[in-house]
Amino acid sequence: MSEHVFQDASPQAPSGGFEPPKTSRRSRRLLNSLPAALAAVLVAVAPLAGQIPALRARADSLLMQWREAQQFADLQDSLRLGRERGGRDTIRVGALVFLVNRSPLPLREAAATAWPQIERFYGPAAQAFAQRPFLIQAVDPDTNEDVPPGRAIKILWNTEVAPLARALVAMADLGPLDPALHDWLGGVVVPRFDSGPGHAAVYIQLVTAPSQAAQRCYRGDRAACRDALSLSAMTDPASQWYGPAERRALVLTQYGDFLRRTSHGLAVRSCEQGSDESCLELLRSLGTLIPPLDYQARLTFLETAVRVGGAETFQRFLAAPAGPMGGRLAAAARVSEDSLIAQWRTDVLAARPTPVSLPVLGAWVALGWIVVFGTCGLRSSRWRVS
Amino acid sequence: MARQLRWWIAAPLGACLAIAIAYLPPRPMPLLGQRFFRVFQTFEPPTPYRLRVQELAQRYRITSFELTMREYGEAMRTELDRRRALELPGPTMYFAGPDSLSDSARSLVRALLGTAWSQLGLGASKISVGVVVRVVFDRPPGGESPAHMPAADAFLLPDSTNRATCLAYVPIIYWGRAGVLRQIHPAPSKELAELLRNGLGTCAYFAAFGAPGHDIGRWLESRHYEFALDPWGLRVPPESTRAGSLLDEDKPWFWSFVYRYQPGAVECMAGRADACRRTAVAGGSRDLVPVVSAERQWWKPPSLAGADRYLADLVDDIGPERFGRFWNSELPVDTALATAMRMPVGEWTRRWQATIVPPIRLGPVAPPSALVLATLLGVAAVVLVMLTATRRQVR
Repeated sequence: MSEHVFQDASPQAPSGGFEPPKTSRRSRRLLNSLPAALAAVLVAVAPLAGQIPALRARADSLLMQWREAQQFADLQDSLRLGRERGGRDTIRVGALVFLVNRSPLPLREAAATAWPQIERFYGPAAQAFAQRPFLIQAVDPDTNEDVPPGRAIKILWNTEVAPLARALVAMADLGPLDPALHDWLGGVVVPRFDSGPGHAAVYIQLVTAPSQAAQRCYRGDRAACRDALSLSAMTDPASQWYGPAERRALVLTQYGDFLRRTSHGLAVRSCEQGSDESCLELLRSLGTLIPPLDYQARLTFLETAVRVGGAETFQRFLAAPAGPMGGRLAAAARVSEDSLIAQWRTDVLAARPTPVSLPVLGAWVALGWIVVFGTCGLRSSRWRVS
Repeated sequence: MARQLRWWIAAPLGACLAIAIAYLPPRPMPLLGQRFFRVFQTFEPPTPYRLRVQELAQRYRITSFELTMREYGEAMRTELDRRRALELPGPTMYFAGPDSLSDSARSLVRALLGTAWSQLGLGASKISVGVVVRVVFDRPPGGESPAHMPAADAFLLPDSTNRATCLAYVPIIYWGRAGVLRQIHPAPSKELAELLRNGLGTCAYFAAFGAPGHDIGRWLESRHYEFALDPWGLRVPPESTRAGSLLDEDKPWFWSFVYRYQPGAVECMAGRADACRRTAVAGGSRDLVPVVSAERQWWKPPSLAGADRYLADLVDDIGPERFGRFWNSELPVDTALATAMRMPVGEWTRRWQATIVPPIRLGPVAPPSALVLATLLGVAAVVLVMLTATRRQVR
């Protein structure tokens, strides 16, 4: 990197004329600079003294104006929302409240199916939905109709009960009540226990994720599960999640293009040549890494906690003090963190996907089709008449 | 016409009709797409009051930032005065949080900032620089007030009330992520060094060259110092700026990001020197505040692609002495720039822009690759027809 050296651009004092009394070089310099320093201090300090209170007054005044404008804006927004809500029916099922326009949408039936499931998951915390009505706009399935603008959730009115109930469950997200949970999960809380397919997907992740933490978790190392699911404070994910070979592969395959474009070409080359230090530094510089186990895995862990802890788990979780997610969930489920991890791992291993086996007959059928197509190809006639 | 042949003609026509029914107007979007997107919310534009709230919030943030920085400046004043009096090189540092930051992390930041200062060739400066470093480990909770400190480097520049001090605010944001400064014994990293060096940003120009000339100062102020946000000597590869501005021509979003820029900037990317000159020397907003922020708003691109490093690249190109003469010049901006560049402003800017974004082609011109492909397809079609006709010959 080049270094620039700057010359002092201040004008030199003219030589000759008044000769000051002989003093030491340092005190002469101080004496020379004293009036200038005094002037500078006076210029700098005098207006500053009054400036901070003036700025504070201005900030306070702006804040007041902002609050006032905010009230008007909220009023205008609520009027707009009121217009949108106008002429809608209110449907209450359990603590769920729906404001919906008139249509053949089977909302009440679907809500009656969804509510027990939601209540079973959230327990008493589900009462929070009474304060959070869902604004729903049933829209015409005819695609020539324009979709009206607005905040309402748009659903085709010919949606059937079962898919509508599933949609209502997916919409019942209390994650925003706890931002830490929302951040950890990386998505919405879906209050669902039927996660057989979810556990199977997590099983595949545990087996195939290129992460030593995930693989050790699969083999039964609970500390590794804790790391893979980010249940404890993650001080260095690059080393907690991935081993040296995985780090190198991650740098080269996932982030290589980005890193080379952002002036890290040398470090990427060094990582490629086997320097784990370079790989680690590159991954640390990224800040955020792809976690070995994704949202699905974390959701199944939350679900395990709720299942183990019973109906009041979510309520206890919301009341628990801030801290690592593993500890909070375990405390809410009233078990130790290790037991909760062990239970989750057992559930995941139990959902091992059934291996696909090819029946003997299937092989013969495939071979038969190959023969049929081959014969047809060979017997096709040309159009030429000779 | 043979019966089979009729089927061959009827089937494609039927398929075309089905596709037309699905895709053509009066339906505004494809059948499948519309069904899919209908489950999402649709948004209305904000009300006039909401726009007013946003404008007030923005003004409040600027004032609040200025106030906070002036308070930090007061806290640093003794040290700033002492350094100035003793002509000590280097910036004055102030850690604005958090208290949990380890002593070794503080020492590391101090050392890296000192290194950055000397790398930029900044000795004892007439305009003192105070650097406020704030390490943010966790996401701040949302509150009622619209105030928040910037999430990128920001500066409180010398103004009529305090001509001798420039304050830089350098946030190091982790928001729950792992980071060097979280470690008990942090080791220096290239990223942290660059972040701190960039943090000196606009203040580095004031420290090195003093206050700008009258016209130059007004020009820079009206542009919110967007050309002087990065310090010189970084030698950041153009690919990095290109990727940062999402102007990588290999990416599918390239053109949509090109057309987010103002027409003058797009013309400059196309290599039109006159547009480059116009865009570079144009005046900006009349709203003059001593606060400059490097915080980018994705919907509001800079006036030129890579504008942050315009003056930094100029320093690297012409050297600090010539740049210093430009910075302190009392000539009009256009003349001062051209004198420093020793060529027309438009020409230098055109060449500089080409290093950031490879020149684009404007107007309805098909790319050469598409022309070649179309010609090859045409030739292939003709050859196919000729072969078929030969095979179907009746002798």
